[in-house]
Amino acid sequence: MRLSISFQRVAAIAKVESKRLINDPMLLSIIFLLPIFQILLYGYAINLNPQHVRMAIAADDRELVKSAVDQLKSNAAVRLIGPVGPPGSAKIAVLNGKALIGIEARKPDAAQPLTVILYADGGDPQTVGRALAALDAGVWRGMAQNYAKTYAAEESPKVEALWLHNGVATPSVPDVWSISPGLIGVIVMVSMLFLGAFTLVRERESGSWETLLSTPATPLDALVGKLTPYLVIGVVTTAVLLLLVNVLFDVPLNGGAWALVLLAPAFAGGYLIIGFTFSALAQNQVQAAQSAVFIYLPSLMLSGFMFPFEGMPRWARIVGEIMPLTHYLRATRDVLIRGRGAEAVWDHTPPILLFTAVTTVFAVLAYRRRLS
Amino acid sequence: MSVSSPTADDATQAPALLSVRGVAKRFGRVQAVADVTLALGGGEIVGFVGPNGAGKTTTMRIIAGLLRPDAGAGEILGMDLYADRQAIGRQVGYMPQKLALYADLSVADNLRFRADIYGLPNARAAVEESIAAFGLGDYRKHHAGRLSGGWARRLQLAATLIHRPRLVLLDEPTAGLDAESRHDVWLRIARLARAGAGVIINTHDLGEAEQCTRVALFAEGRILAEGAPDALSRALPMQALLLEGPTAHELAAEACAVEGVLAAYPEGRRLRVLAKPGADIGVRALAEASGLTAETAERRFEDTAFVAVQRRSAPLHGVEA
Repeated sequence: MRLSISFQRVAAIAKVESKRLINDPMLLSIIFLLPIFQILLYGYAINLNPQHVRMAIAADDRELVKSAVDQLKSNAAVRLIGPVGPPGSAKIAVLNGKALIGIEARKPDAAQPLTVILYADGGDPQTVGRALAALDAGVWRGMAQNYAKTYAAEESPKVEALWLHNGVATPSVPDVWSISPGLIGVIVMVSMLFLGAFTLVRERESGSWETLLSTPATPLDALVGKLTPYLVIGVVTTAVLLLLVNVLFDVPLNGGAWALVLLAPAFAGGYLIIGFTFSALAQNQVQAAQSAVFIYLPSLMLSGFMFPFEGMPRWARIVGEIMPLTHYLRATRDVLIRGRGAEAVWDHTPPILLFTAVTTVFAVLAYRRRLS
Repeated sequence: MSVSSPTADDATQAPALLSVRGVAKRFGRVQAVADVTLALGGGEIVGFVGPNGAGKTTTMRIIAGLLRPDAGAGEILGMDLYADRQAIGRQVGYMPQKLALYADLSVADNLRFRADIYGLPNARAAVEESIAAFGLGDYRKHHAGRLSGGWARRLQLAATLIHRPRLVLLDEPTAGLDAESRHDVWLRIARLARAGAGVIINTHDLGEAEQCTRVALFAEGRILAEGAPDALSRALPMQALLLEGPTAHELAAEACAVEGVLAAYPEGRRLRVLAKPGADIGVRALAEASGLTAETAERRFEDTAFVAVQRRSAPLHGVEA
């Protein structure tokens, strides 16, 4: 093989490639719209500083935390879910998912100084970690001043941050635990979306779609028949990934893990079907793949996997709520990190099913466009 | 090449399989099909003949239920062309112009898919029968994508016919095939028609079109003329002349310039000239001046098809099958 290069040949090939692009207005518009779409998404939706993170506070003496509560009320990073509760109530609020951060303050006694324990939800470290950082300085300084004034104490208060996962409080959570639950959903989403996007368009390019359309096969026949093997792949992938994170990274597989596998057909199906819709509308595989990115990006960016969900503006959170990944991510975090059971998975099921049902309607309509 | 086909008389005895009236289809600014009206009975082979872009494939796709027409109506076996397309699908076998097989599946798997999708009660037996009927036994485990053009076309025809459709739509089924394979395809088409199926075939080959019971000449989305090839051959008032001599095949342009000449095209080293009655005098004069001989030739179907399609007009009004 010779390694020579000819400007004329390169120019000829580049010219043909450019002409093919220009002759495909749909692809061209996707190519130009996609970067604009991305910059708008990143620019307006993503905020690294979480806002209004749900927080509970408990103390055996309300006066103890009075100044802290006042400061927390004016801090946009957090939102108190209620008045100061009795000791232990803040931790319970985190354990049952009502709050992401719980503060337990205990009066000093002979054995220990004033103790403030921050219980952070290990299921959403992206949000909670940043919120804790935002809170840190001002709040505890105020509490210490108040403490010193009230109790004329010389000893500094003891402040400790603990992460709650599977009902256990530890000083930290392994990074891989924070990432892997979300990663399972992301991996399944990406593979399903692109597999769906290539199904029909591959047939269209090979010519076999025209034959399929002339048979008695209905749009639903084609949709279900085409996607069933991939759906099985999606479910098996989910199960294998759950096992892998357990075996390789010690992420605990709790009681509700089977429910995550049970929910996988609906979750994977939603992305397969939206991919199938793009496939029915696209003229070629490049168009289908580029179109899939329009769902892939918002799903990934607005799900809370990469950036704090609570930090996003309202419109971005609404878009995020539409995406099945957001709910599947919450379900996996609930089960794997928070140690909840199957009922937590069912709580996240309706929006996933709704998305799948709506995309099925779109897919059937797109298929009906046929060769027209 | 010639195979025994059912006659037009045979066909007229059969009940109507297909009837379309005033069908039209537009793609953007292009009127692909306009006011196409057609009927077909069982046992008939209707050839769609015309240049590329004449509307043949679009008409066939409309009949196959792949495209919704913008205007017009039609029935297949009494069922509405579009509303009942699923039921119609069971009765229609459509073979597109482009090979439409699953290249990465074996011959047997391709046939099995078609048998299953048509819900044949004994799909396995249907596949075996089809493999035997089309002589595909030696290739049953071969991937369809590895078959030669002729065998792939044969497999596609087998897949199209596996459910024994009553209406068969074949879009250029012999394109790219050698003479033997073409003959084989036509034998099968004739056999289908004899068994009572209606067949519509798109073809550019005027010789093949002559084997049809009827021919519809397409140009610019319309049917210019329709009838039995014999009837069409006689329909146009014109005569055919053959000019012979060393430079005969080079004189097409000069011949076309003669008043009354409809068309002229080389036929080997000779020139075939189609002219209105009485215009032969001018042609003979040209031949004499060029040192050529000019003889009256037998009229052929191709002459009519060539002139009608070339002129994009309807010189054959009133022609009946």
